[in-house]
Amino acid sequence: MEFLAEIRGVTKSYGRTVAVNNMNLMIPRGKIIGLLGPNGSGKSTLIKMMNGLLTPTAGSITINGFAPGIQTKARVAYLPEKTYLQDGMRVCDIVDYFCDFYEDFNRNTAFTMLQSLGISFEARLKTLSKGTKEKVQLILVMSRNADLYILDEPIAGVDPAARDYILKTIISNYSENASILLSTHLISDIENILDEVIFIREGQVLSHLPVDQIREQYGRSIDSYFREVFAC
Amino acid sequence: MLGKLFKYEWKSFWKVPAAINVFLLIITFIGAVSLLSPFWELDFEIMDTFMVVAIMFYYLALMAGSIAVAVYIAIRFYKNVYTDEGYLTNTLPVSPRDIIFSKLFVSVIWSIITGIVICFSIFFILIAAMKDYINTYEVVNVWQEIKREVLPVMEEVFGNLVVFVLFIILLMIITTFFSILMMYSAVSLGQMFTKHKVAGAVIWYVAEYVIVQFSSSMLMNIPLLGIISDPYAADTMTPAAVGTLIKLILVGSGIISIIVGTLLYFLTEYMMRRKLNLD
Repeated sequence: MEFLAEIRGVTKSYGRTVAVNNMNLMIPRGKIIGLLGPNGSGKSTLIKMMNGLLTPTAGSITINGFAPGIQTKARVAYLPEKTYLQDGMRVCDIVDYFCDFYEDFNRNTAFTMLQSLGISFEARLKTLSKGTKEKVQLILVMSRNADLYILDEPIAGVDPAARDYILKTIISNYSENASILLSTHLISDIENILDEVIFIREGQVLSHLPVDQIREQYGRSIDSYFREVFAC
Repeated sequence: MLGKLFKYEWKSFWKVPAAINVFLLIITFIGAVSLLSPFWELDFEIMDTFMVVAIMFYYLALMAGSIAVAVYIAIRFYKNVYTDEGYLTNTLPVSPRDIIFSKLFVSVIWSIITGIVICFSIFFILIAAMKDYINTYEVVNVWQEIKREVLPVMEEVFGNLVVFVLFIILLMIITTFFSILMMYSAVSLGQMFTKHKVAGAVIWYVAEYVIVQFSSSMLMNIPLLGIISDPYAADTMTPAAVGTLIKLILVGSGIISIIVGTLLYFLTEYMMRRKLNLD
């Protein structure tokens, strides 16, 4: 089976601190995968390395057979935890920006979603609340026809009503050959859409299992299983 | 992609330096109009002091304008590449080289525009200040002297005055690229600090500046050693000898700027490619 992303023996250390420790992980196509773990477990470091924002100290990462670079960035839609939009821009400017740089970006999809959430195309980004900016960023990412969507805490800053819309958007906006890697603390909100979960602790993969298997094997929800595994 | 990056960089960059240049032009206009007015002919003792203050204010305004543009170039690079905005900039399907060059070209263009505005400003202020002397015997005399003493030396440098002027313009463009790359590399090295990244960038910039100034002044002194060791050399030098010396210094500083600038570019690209450290 050809995997969408392959992470082989990846280590990332900062001096003596090891954030990711000899990690091996295969991301299949056509799945929504939860990347779960407590704070400081290495989730963000792994995501940054997959997006070429950090270079592994050891090991290799490939997406579609390429190391993180121009080819992978053209096919990976990344939603970081941070708000990266330039305040001086208007919503329609940032849509144009994405349209110019990403060949897989669909302007109509973006405008439809913006309209559904009542976000004005002409609004200046500096006039939008933090939550609305996060919605704009998610819309931009989900308006791409990418192979891999990497979403870092996509629903943390938005209200529950918008959360439902966003989750619906995530499910309905990716093709069957694409996968979504979703990192979040709000497990109960997203567990119904997940196909697989990856548990990470201290920079290593604890388990990578289909959601159904966890439910059948342990007879509990992902949220309660997570609480048990990572009990303090 | 470089063209697209350039387009967006220009769009988000132009407002601040344009405002600074408009400010400089307003200062120039006010200065020139006031110099042309009969105001300065008033016979009060305080007028001399007032003139000194006005000149100082004008000088500080020009300095502040050029420094503000330079600082804005550094801040914009830092913000766009190494802060939250970097999450978008560094995940675009473009190479770090394209990102650096798009920013570099826009920054160089605005630095040159600012330089030209400052030169025009000084020129117009001087014309306004010398309004009573223009076309008089002294000015004609000074011009004759420049023609007799300076122009032959300039012609000796590259054999032709036009080539000399073109070379000076080229050298100014090269040094503009160089000084911006110095800021970019300092900002890139500064972001390696876990905290106080801006302070880190300033420290690196000062370090780079001191090293470059010290090394280039050492290298530049080599051709001057002959003159320093011979106290009569300056008096006995022919225009051809002075021209050769100037040529050596100008070409030397151009070559040094190109070599060190290229190294600083590769350093910046390496930091972006391999040592990104976004919070």
